[in-house]
Amino acid sequence: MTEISVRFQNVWKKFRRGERYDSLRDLIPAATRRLLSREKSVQLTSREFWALHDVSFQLRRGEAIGIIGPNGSGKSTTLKLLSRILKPDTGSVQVHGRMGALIELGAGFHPDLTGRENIYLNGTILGMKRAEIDKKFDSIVDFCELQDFLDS
Amino acid sequence: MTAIHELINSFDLLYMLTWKEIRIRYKQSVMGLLWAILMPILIVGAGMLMKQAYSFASHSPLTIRDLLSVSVKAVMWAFFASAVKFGANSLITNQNLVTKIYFPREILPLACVFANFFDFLVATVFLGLLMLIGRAGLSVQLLWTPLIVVLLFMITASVAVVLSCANLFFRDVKYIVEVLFTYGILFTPVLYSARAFGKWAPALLLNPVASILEAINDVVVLQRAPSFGWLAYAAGCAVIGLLVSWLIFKRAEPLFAQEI
Repeated sequence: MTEISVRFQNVWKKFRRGERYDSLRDLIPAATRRLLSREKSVQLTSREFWALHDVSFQLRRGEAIGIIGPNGSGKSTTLKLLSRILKPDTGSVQVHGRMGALIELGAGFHPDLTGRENIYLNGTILGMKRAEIDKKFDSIVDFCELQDFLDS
Repeated sequence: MTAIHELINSFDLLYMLTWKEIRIRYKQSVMGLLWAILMPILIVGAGMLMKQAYSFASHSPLTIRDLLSVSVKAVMWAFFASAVKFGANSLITNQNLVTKIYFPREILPLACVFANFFDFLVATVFLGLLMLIGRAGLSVQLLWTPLIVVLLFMITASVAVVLSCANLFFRDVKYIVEVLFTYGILFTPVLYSARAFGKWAPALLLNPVASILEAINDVVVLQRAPSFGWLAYAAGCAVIGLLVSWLIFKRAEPLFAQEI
């Protein structure tokens, strides 16, 4: 069985340089235009640029991929599209199975919560159920080796 | 449809984020549970001061019922106001999550509304005590209370969801919200009764929060049936508001991470 787990198909993603809309005056026409036209345009305005330009790849189950490239070449954009944080302008991104984004260590942690509470909070942020965390709790604690500090 | 499925699937996340909001509010705080009634107490104080001025002018004495009316409405208003204020800022304060990981983002404003609902429940305990002391009495009309509270919850959630989204695109929204709420309490019958305006009362009740406050005052303090017409109006606003705000939010959601 060669099951496709990740499919990245003809993905285009554009970004804008500098300020977006400075005022409501600029926004209202732009927003109505965007709401009215459902078709996605591949036209660029003067301040826009393509971060990803027709990118395609796919992964079968069990395969691994590494992305190498100079700064500003779109590596993080690709990852953000994969994890659905960003949406492509055209093309499609499909992922089958659970996504585990290793976000910057501590992004979801709150200093006022105990270790135990933070484990549950971050687990649910990553898409786990509380019952699932209950089951894995001991192995999580073993892994981080902070048994003595869990409730502080 | 998938969005609804996703939201239901994220129940545990909503639970944990609500828990987090409640924990950080009550942890390392001087006031503890009293925090939940700080705002209502201030509102009641202001309301009684105003009513006292009226009673001097009209030579009709203040009654315990006036106090109870203002207290009940103050607790409801405090929930509405603080849930919307916290909710409006929720996407910005959780910027690190919004830009780094995917989950249905409406969870963030909703968690704020739920956390403030916890405060509301704490405040209702104090309110219950006050009603006991004031010998408010019980009536079958109290059975309306859950429905009225749910309607207020729905309206609060819709406003919080829309404003959180607006605040992400325009940072001045939170200052606008601040001003609106400072004076909004005067345009909503919290410190007074809409009935005092006679034939102009409907103009005030068009604000669904006003209809809800009058309804809760009717059933809890005055022990009579609420105005069905205005309650139905509030219910319509709540349902449509929730749907429309959610659609707007979902429409704008894909832009959050790049526009924040």
